[in-house]
Amino acid sequence: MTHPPDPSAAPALTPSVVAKVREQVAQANRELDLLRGLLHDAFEQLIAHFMQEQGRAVAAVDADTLLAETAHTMSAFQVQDISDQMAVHIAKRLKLIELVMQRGSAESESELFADPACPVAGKTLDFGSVELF
Amino acid sequence: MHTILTVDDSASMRLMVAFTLKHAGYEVIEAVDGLDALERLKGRDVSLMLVDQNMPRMDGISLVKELRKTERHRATPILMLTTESSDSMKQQGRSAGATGWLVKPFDPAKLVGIVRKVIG
Repeated sequence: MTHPPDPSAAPALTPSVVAKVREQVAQANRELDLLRGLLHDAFEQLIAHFMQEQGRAVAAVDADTLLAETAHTMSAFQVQDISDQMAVHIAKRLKLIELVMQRGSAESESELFADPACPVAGKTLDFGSVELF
Repeated sequence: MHTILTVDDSASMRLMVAFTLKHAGYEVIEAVDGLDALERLKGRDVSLMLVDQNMPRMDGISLVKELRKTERHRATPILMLTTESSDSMKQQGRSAGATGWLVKPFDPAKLVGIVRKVIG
């Protein structure tokens, strides 16, 4: 009969390993900042496009036509927004890893229990999924 | 005219929802999280609420629970509009008293369709 490994029996990380992990976390943060910059740029472009469409809305024949015309922009806007939320969430998780590495494994458990809830749960873009209870 | 409250910490998401519903003929008011929604709903009725789940200070399901304790909003339709799509989370929403569950990103025409269906 086999037993699962006891996590408390795992060897402690050496200072050099901790330093390497922290270096990787710092690099991941820099790369995430780059991604967030791109997402912000996408936001700026999308909002400008969206405002143009809002301006055209005055001349639209009816709401259904207008909404159909703007659907693609709105989808792009929402995907940008979801991506940004995910980037913010990953930054929080990296901060948590950094905290755990700073304090060491003995104090890390309470931090891990405060695991931030992921704002994005779906694996696919389930556009317009609706369920009435 | 029916008034709809949209509750979401994302300004761009509120913008999308408000744009969609205003052009479908509804008045839209906005709140940035659950606590802000409770503040804005003091002493006023709305026809329907669209509520995000993951928000700072007070999340969507907690907001639904709070609203269902009040006489004024005990029966107001509340649709969750969220990226969350797990069955367990939907079940929590249903138990809290939500009327339905919509997954982001939403399709504008479908959103209007479901709002019309729920408001009647």
